[in-house]
Amino acid sequence: MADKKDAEKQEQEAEAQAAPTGDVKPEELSGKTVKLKYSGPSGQVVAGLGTALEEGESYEVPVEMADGLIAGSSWWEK
Amino acid sequence: MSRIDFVGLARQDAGRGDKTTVMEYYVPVESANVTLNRETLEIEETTGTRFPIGIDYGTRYFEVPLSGAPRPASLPRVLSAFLGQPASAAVAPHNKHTFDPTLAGKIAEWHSIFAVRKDPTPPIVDLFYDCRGNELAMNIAPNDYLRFDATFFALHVDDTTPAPVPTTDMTKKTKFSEANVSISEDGGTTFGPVVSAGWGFTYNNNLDTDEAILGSRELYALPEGNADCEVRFSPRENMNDYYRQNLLADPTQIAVKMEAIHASGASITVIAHNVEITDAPAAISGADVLKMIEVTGRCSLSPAGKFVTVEVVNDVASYA
Repeated sequence: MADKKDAEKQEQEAEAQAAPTGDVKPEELSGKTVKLKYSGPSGQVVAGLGTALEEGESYEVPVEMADGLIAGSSWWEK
Repeated sequence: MSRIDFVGLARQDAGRGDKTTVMEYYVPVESANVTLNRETLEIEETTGTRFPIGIDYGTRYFEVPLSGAPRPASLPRVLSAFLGQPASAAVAPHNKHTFDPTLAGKIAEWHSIFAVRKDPTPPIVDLFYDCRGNELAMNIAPNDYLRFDATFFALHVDDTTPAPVPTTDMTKKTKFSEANVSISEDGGTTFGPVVSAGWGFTYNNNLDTDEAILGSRELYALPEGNADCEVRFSPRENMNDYYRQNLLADPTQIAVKMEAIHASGASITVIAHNVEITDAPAAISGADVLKMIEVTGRCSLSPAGKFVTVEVVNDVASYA
């Protein structure tokens, strides 16, 4: 029983860790977005945003992705 | 790896030890088969039985080979791990980044590399740091893209930093139809085109991986060894000349240039300034037409002190 609980806890922790890391499934999106400014070179893409990014533009990003973008690249800021 | 996986690169601004979790470029690769290079401690002792006893692990470092098609925006970030930081200048409307490892202070820069396998849940995430480039190969052939195989050696790995969301470099890859090869017989002053069925070069920093010390399983340092470089091209014309040159003559020095120019104005140029041919075979085969000579040359320092120069023109202002 204890093993089962531990396994469930580990699974939840694993999911919690996986959540902000990019591969957000469409059904998991809350619909909320946040505006981030992109300062990197043009021609880069983020899976899920759908367009090639332009330097200096701002983009509406699902809140579930925003922290992961900022954590992963110095080109993004709120 | 599947398409959902990703690899990120960042230069460590403060050099060795400056683990960087914020990546500069996420480089699309075909594969990145991370391997562990580890020594093993094992002695054969008399134990009164013929069955084996346990081992211990010795020093370790990691090999991170990235294979793929270079993109103009991120290629300079890859190259800086091999050739040092580029000199960047505006060439309107683009920017040119020139790599010349012979210049003072141009050392293979320390990088951090994220290698993320997203297929499993939870993902397998490695953040390698204190990485330097050991061997860089670039090749291009008809009906293919310009390709690179960049092998990094890493001293450390961080397995606690979660994977970020990648902002992937999707600038255009270089096609074979955008590339040309030319050679110079006057020290690089004038170049003439070569009808060639391929081109390649392999640059090696020969990093020394023998710096083990007592008290640690990690290497103390990863110094650069002697650099060497090989250039290959496959002329479909003047084949007898290349064959005879290699067979009978003393080495002569030619400069070999590969230039690939995109319609957008982005370009990649690799110049080997002083190449001496070391192989140019002409095989006889009853089954095949002899339609090219695969010329292999060894690069050396030119009289002007140049070895290999790589120029990348793109829309990125700087790689500081």
